[in-house]
Amino acid sequence: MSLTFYQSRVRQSFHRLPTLGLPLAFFFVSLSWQVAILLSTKFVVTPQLTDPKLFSLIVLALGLSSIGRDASEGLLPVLLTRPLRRSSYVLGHWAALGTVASFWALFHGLLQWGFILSTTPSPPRVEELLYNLFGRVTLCFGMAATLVCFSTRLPAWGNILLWGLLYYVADRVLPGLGKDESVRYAFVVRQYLLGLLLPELDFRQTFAASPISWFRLTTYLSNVSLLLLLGIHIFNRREVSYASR
Amino acid sequence: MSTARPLPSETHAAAPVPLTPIPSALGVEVEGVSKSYRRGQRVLSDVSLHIRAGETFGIIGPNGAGKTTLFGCMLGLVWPDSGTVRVGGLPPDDLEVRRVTGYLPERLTFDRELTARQFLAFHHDLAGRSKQERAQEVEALLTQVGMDKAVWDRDTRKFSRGMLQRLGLAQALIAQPRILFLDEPTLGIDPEGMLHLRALLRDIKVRGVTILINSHDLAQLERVCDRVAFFRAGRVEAVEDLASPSATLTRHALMVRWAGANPLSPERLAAVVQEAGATLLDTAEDSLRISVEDDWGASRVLGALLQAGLPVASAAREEGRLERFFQQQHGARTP
Repeated sequence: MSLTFYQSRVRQSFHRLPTLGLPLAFFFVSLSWQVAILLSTKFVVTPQLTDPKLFSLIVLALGLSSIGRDASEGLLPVLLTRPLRRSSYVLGHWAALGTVASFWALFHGLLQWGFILSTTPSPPRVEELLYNLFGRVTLCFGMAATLVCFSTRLPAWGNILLWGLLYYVADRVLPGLGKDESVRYAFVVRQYLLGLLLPELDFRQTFAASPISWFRLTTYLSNVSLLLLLGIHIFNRREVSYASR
Repeated sequence: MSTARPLPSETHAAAPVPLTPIPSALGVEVEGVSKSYRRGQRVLSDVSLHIRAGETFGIIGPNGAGKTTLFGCMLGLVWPDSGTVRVGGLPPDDLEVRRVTGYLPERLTFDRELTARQFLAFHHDLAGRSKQERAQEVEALLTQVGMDKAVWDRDTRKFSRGMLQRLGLAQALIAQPRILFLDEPTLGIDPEGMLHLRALLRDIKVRGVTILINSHDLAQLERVCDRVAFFRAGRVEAVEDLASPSATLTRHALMVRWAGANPLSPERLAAVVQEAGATLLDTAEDSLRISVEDDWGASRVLGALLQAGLPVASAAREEGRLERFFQQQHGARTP
């Protein structure tokens, strides 16, 4: 992976309005909501750490600036004539997206923890915080792999649209499909699909279990690897030309 | 070999790749390349070109002739359906070739959040150049392409078309390339920039860099190119060697008209022209056409004709050799 390219894409995320403004908006809305609940219930309802899955919204917002965006803006031909392997380019995008999303997720988590500590006499244990934060990070890097994989062939925003469409199918369409035996197949397909759309490692269920749940760990790692390998494979076959755009 | 399918080089990316020795000057071999896009539209048909190391090679042709696609094949961005492309004996997407390749696309776009200096520094790092020399090389290049120092740290979104083109050229030169691909380099450049570009290309050429130019600006191509290929409907129709002398197509043709009757005999006229280092192409009742080497040659021959007593009324430069070459090729196909 090219460190120069990775750094440039990290920097880019903090300079563009959609990839800076949307995560910030999520950040403030989420924290303000918890403050509002606290005040309206006169400190009866104590705030909780946000479910890591909710951070998929931040990853989606950051995913707007991906390979499809580079292609649509015409940056690809020059970038790919540099001594940079296509696989390095894809991995650089994945690492940058995962890093920036993790930064927002961890920052949010730490602020939330501080907020909970200051308002609750009996806050959750530190392990809970760590499980939550690690869960956020694994979701960020997992979803980054999904969105980068989709963007290797689709134009700008196409990766977000495809993700949204597949999520709709997994969340709304598949649960209502079939009867008796076919329900089981629909359920299995749904689980596979959600595993690819929202790859997340639940640290509590994986590492607090005895013995350690290797199945969960390998499933997460294989899902992420599969998505990245697929993305690299598709991108290796992609032709890049102004004439063919 | 750069052929129809994507190169398998990515698949063994994990293994340490030994550095492929690369010759100091790079030529390009295009052998029987054909390419169609998905809709069945044939863009290149059995194109073969042999571009020598260190030469400046121009590609001309009407819009949609396949010039940019050919550039894509030579840069390893597009894969031919059949045929091969080799740069310095290696596939065009070999990392060693990319290390010494510079490319200015027709419509270069920039990372919007970067200034001109940051943009070049980014490409300097991507090209694998030494970090210690980055600041110095970036500034030297910005100066070399004629960018005003006041705009070096300005947002590229505020740049004019000409400034963007200059920055694009600097980007193409940042890796100190040994092979340079320029797609419409004069697009949007003012006359001063044009002269600057020409001088820059001459300088680059002297360093032994192979230059490939795709342009519609025939006059500029004629001034900088050693050879030119004429493209039509995805085929190479002709390759013209601009360095070779030609009786019918000359680098600069001068049309001289005189007032009243010609006091000089045809023999005397031919002798005066020849003594001035030019060639008489043909004579008419009130004019003659002379082939001259360059503007100085034109000045010399005009001085000699005036001195010999020819009442010169006007002297005009005819369209260039390349323009006539283009018209001949184009005209041959136009009903």
